[in-house]
Amino acid sequence: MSHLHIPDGLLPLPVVIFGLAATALLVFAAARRLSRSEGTRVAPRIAMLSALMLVGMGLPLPILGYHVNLTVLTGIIAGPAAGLIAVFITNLILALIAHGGITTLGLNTLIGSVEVFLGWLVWNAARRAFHGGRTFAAASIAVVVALAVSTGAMLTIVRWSGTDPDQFGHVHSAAIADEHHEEAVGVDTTNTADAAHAAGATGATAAFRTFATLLLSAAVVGWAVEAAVVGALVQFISRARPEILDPDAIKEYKG
Amino acid sequence: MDLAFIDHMAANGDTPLHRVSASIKLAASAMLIAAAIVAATPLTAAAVTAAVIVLAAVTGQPLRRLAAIAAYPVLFAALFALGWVRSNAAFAAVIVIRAFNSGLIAVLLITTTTFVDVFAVLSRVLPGPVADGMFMAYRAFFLLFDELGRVLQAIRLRGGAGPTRAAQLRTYGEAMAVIVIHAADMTERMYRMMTVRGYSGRIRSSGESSAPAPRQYALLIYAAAVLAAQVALRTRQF
Amino acid sequence: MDDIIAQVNCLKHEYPDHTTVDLCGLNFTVRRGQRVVVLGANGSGKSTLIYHLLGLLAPVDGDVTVFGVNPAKSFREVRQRVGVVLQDVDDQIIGPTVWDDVTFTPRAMGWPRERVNAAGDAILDRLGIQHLRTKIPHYLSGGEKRKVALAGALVTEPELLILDEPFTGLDPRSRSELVALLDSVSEQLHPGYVISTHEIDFVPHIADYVYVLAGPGGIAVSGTPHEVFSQGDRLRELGVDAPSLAELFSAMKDRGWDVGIPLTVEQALSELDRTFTGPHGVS
Repeated sequence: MSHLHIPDGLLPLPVVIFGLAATALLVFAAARRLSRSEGTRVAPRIAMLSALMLVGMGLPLPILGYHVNLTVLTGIIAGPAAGLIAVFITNLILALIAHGGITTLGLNTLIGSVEVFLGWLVWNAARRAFHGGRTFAAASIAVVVALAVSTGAMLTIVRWSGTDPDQFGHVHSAAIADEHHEEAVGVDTTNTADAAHAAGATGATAAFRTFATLLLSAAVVGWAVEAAVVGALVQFISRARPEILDPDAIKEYKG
Repeated sequence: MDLAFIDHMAANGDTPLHRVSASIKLAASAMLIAAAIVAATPLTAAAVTAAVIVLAAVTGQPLRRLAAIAAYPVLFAALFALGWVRSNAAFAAVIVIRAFNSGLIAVLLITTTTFVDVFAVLSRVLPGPVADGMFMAYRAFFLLFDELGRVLQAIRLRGGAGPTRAAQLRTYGEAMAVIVIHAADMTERMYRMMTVRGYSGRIRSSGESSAPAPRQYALLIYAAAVLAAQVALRTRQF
Repeated sequence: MDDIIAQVNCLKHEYPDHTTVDLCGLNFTVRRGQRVVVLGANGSGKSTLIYHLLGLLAPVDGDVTVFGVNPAKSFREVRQRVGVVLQDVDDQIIGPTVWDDVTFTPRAMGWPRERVNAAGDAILDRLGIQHLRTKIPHYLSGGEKRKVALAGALVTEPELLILDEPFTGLDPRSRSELVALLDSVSEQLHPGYVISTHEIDFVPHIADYVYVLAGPGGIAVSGTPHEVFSQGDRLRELGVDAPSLAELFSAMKDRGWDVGIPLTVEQALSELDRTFTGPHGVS
């Protein structure tokens, strides 16, 4: 599972607010830019991408109950700006059905957008390197790189946001509770406090290591599964309707 | 797929909570989620759970079904909490309960409020392409999901996805490619028709036709009370 | 000439895959209040013709005018006067609820709220779907969706209604209901119709004038239903069947019976009455 959505209540408020603010800015900027360049065509295109990501979750893959998230495909088909908005809409809908947090909508969107952007970038680079051929390989490489980096980004957010009880002011560890009590009765707790906080920090590091190990173990399998599925998908489209893979192609309607 | 089932519950249900206006339910949900996040001990977090369950039970919601759907975010939280179990079990419990609470509140909202009504409220603050994209994505999802069902049925009727995992992944990838192609064509047709029908950049939903009845505000008062209690408890702790 | 609301002169179109459609031959004309049916085998150009009338396609050669303007360039000027129902109505239902979808076009055109509400209510009542007002479209049955699409097309009381294969996927009863609905709309609003269809047996009930497309040959036959369906051999060459009754009586005529070519059951009964109670008939 390379793409679990961060739930509510895990990360500190400043980090959550940053995620929401950054996403809001990017979404508004992307919407404005796309409205200028594509006019009224923007909304149906974005809607299709969002709907595809949601439908992809219903594909019954035979490995570990994994489901594809198709953010990389979105980047390949539509590019970063439309992909960002599509990821936002998808994550909004998913948050409403408890696949990811409401307050962490911003952060989850940013992580998904990393996949969209890198998917688009690496796909185009790989296509140039393969001289337009080897679409399966180009798409698969884009998937693995994008998902690996986004997973790293997510782990980085979790690690460096300082998720440990003491910094949160959550439930104190026993050492911190003792420290507060001793302070209250006038005992100098400097050394005790330092030791308690150091113990807390070590606990946070150990906990994060456990989390990261578990997540990455499952994620690597997920990357391989998504790479295989998206590779086959893109290869099929490149043979049947190659213009779909070109974000700038203008299609004329035909029946 | 959860989404289709959830939407059906919202569109076809008729409990007291279904009849409350979307704006009020959104505001109440926001307060309850805030309460869930503010809760800092296993006991206070469990109190929020109880408050939400009471609300669901009193308004006649299918609790087990809701809890099953709301369990999904617990997966990530549990992965994270696992590392804390030994050093700070209470903290680990809070993380998991918070995630469950937030999920339960979201699911309670969306099984009693159609996506259309939620989007109608949100579209007031979102830029045009995003708001329109939301409405259209919702509609397109059901059309494409039906198409996926037909493609998967065809695979089954014609001998299955393949003898090996690798072959199956390829088959499903190509099935999804058929959906992508269909989606691209459908988008083009819909866009053309939208143009013919006069689309100029805003799909409006009629949303709520009248002001909420006064008794609906009881939900807001309940949510505010839960939040206030959690804030008070948290303040006293620290 | 001023009662001509749509006209196509020798239209030629080429698609990106180099498929060409040639609708030259006889001029295609729709007059005010006239009900025109377009017949033709698959691939003969029926949908191409319709999309040119809607301004969705522009011809490589030839002229298309709708209410005096080129729809490919100026459809906005005539949008209020044209309603359309596509073969797959899911392609045109875009509103979040039935009410939102039916009132989509008048709102997009900037009508005042009161006028939008009045028009929306009127068409929902006229089509008997007021009870679907707050429903979400994808939960409707196929027949209900078709009525919603029709309501959305008629809400501005258009002078020209274009229907692309409206009977596709309908059972016989639903087809009859749709014909009755179109008759009712015709009586009340008097729009001109352009209907493309394969449902030959319904054509005599819904058409004042018929065009038969021949693919590369363009418009091959045109006339009243009676004029067109009397040319059984020519229609067969074009891959179009005549209505069953017309086929039967044409065969009878070929065998020497003194009969006309009826297109409806009532006409057929009249012919049989005449034949069997006339000088050569059995009383």
